[in-house]
Amino acid sequence: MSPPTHFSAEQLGRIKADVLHKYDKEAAKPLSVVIMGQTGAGKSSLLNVLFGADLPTGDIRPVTKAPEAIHLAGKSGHSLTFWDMPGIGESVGADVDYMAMYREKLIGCDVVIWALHSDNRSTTYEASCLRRLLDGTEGAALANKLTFVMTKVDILTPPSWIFALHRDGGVFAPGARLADKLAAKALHYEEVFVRPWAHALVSTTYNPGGFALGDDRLSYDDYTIRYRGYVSAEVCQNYQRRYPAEAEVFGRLRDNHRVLACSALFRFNLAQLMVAVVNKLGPGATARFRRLLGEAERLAEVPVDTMRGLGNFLIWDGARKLLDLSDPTLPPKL
Amino acid sequence: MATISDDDILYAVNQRSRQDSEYRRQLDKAIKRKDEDDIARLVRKAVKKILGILVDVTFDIIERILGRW
Repeated sequence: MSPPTHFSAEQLGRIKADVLHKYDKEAAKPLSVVIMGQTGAGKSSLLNVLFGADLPTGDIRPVTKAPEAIHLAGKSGHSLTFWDMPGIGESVGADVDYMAMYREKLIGCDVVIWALHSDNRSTTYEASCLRRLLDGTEGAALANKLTFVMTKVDILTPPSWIFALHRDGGVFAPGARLADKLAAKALHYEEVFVRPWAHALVSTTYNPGGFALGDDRLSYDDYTIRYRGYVSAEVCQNYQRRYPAEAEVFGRLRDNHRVLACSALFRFNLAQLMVAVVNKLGPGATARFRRLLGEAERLAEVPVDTMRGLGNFLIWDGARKLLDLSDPTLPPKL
Repeated sequence: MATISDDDILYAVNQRSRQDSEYRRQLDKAIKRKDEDDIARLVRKAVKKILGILVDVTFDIIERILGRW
């Protein structure tokens, strides 16, 4: 394939060198990640499984007083800057002071995840923190950076989690009743944390090539498709009915505004979460992100040995098994 | 007490497997397209800086400039 005639070989060489230099420089910067949420929401656990970090987890941790930058090496050898935010809800007075700090850090970072504990009985306080955070001129930009995650869904009942076994590992799948429960709970959180910001929201996804639909809210270019507004289930369904050939694109636009049910322990829905995060990355951040991601397969796969330590599950490898995993007489792989 | 049948289990496992592979596919594609968009932006900047002109840099031009990325 010949180069465009209006570029000389020397010009092409200089352009290429300039692009490679800038790309490498961008990729060498650490990825800046903020995970917010109440104390105990599982922020560190989520970060550990998503980016191969090694943050301490557990119920007893020193109380962070101010946003603190923690520099980590990801498993790929690349670096990650994690902003450890003071847990929301430690004290009302402290939270008021924290909001200005949160806002400043969120504006400058690449990825923002808000972890909502799946067993929260009340969302009122966290919703009021979000309102305070998004008040002001930068609210719209911040609202579009946030990805809401319902964490620790492994603790929800009925406990019909199934471990689908495949060689030395497996994947956790919720039974139908539990899947319905997760969906209903996530939708409730979406109503509380996402819908109120409908006026400020924009949803973007990649253009797989060939998408060329536009209206007063929908726009596109060679790489990106944008919807200005909140992509509710109804909005998504309406578009999918009108343009069935593009149903997948509208599904992806919808996914950006869902609250995602996730479990760090069960590695549940982590790939879905990562897609939502990638969709919200700003210009230049993808090079940093991809160096930390590693193998996408590991996002779902749980080793059998790890599963044994997590509890007693219904195991499926084509036939039902209900086992007491603490039984020392069981074969080591089960 | 509600029971879970083998068909229910098979359905749940297949559903999970389908969703996981679908989102892994989307993740690969999302990163690739976003990366291409970033590279296109860098190429436009470089062309403007080096040639002093604004050029509509389409992806086939980018591929020609950079070869196999």
